[in-house]
Amino acid sequence: MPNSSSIRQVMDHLHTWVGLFFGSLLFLVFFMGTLSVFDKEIDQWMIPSWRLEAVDIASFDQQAKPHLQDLAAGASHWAIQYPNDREPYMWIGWSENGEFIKYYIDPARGSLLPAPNSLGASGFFFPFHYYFHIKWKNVGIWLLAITANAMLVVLISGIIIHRRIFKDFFTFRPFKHLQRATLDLHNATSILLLPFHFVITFSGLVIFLFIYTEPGIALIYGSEIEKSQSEIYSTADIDLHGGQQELASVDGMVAQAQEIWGGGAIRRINIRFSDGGSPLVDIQRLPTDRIGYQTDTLTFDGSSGQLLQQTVPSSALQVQQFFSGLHLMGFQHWGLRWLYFLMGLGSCVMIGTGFMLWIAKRARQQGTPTYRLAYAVALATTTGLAVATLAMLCINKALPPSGVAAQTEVIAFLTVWLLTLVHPLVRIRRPHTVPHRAILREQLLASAILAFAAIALNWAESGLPLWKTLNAEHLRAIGVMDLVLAAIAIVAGVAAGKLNKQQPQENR
Amino acid sequence: MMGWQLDIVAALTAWIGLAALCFQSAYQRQRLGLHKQKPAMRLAFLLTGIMMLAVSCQASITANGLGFGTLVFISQLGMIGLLLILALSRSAGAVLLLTAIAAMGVVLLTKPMAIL
Repeated sequence: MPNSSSIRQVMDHLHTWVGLFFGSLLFLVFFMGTLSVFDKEIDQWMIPSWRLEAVDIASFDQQAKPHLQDLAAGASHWAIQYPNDREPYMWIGWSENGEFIKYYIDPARGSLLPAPNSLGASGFFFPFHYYFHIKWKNVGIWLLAITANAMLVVLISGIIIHRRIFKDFFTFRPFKHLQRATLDLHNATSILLLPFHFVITFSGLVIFLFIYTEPGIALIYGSEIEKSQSEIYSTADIDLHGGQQELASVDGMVAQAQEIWGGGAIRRINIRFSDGGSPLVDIQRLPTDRIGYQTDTLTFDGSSGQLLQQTVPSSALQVQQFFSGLHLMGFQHWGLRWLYFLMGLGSCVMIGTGFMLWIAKRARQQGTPTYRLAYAVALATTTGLAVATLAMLCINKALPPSGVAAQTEVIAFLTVWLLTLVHPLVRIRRPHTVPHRAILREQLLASAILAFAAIALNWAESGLPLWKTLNAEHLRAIGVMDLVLAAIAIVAGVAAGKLNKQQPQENR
Repeated sequence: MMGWQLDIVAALTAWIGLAALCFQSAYQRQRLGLHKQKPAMRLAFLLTGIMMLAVSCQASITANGLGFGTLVFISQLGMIGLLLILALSRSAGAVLLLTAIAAMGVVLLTKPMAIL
């Protein structure tokens, strides 16, 4: 039987190699997830037409219906998202030739807003976080599942190998040599944020529970796969064949829904049309007052306004919704949102320092191609990702609005990201003459410069300096974003300066 | 008491609790160059730390409700812990001073004399 030290050795190997193999993907997921905590606020920074003053009441009948009748009269399905505290605009959408068409409305005036000309954070960073922009056969979501499981393996093996978990609870020695300080920081961020790491990873898996269990569901339900959906949501098929086809006041149905829920904001309305039958109106509640992402839905007969059905989530769905809420933060709690953001950054530090430890331990092998490649990949997926993101923000502000602006931003992001991979490969070609801290310093300096440039370009583009944005309630997110960028620039600049001062130790 | 005041009390008591737990650790005391503790003193620090964390949890739950309160408590504990280790690595004296200021802040916000 293996003794405890040999178990620790096995777990050490597992921790090192699973961490190294999945570290890039893990950092990508956590970094994009951290940005997604404030995706709506970054959207407003990137897309000036979305900086709107909040409205108290939005009306489907007055603001959305006229546009839908003009633009999508023949569509079989309309979707309408209501404005809320973080998204002051309303959007309408429908499917056309397999593509989902979306228009944005200013709810105060009822007019259509210009096309956004950018994917924004919710259209680029957030999808990157959960499916890496790989839609085909849900490959991206399955890749995320493998990555999340790797994270759990790394966390559990990390706990097992950590002999002095409680002793090291408050240990950080920044004045010892770099490798020791990096290990301390890796341990501190791992241990102190352990509940966050576990909960966020596990809840991330639970969100896509019904995709991951699809093969099992198909095995049980066979050809009646739709039946599983009605059992999960406790709903029945509604047949309104032969009813009136005209749509009654949806605002009236919204008022009914709010009365049933005892207040509460509306998240989304879906209107389903069928040939020769009444339309069905689904009204979804915005779950801002609870942790669980419980989007209660009421279904109305669209022609009479009569309530037909209320979804009662099954117990399995309730569990899934609770964990989804923990992860997605549908709730309205700014303190927790900032804590999630900071803890997300802590996770990035944990993964980044893990990479640095691997590199520092193998610094003697600088000349080997494996080391060079691992180092370049590690740097590109940590500091390189930050450089690429900041470059994307600069391009967003520098480009004039056009039909290709969104694509250009994405191309700029990918190009800069690729360059941050090429940079260490080229610089480390001559071993021992260019220490890897010099390469890291260059990327940190690039981050600092780009962060300052993003602030300057935003001020130049919008004509809104910090004192103006912080004073106006509907522009505060822009001001705070500028402050965060300034903080990034200062931290990156100071870190680059510190790396410059310290004596190289990687060859010891 | 307003919700935001309770949130601040929760954060301050979490800091005091974690600092007390840190100062009872023989390993930490050796690292920080502090004199050895008697077992009774160590027990007092330990109990103070645990009690302060319990008060922090209760304040957070009172301010935010059971679900959100627990989540806020766990989240801020991690972040305050990180802040504490960063501060400790710079100066143990500064941590002591900050802990005293936090204790004063709790007293001012809760006004225990008014309760008595």
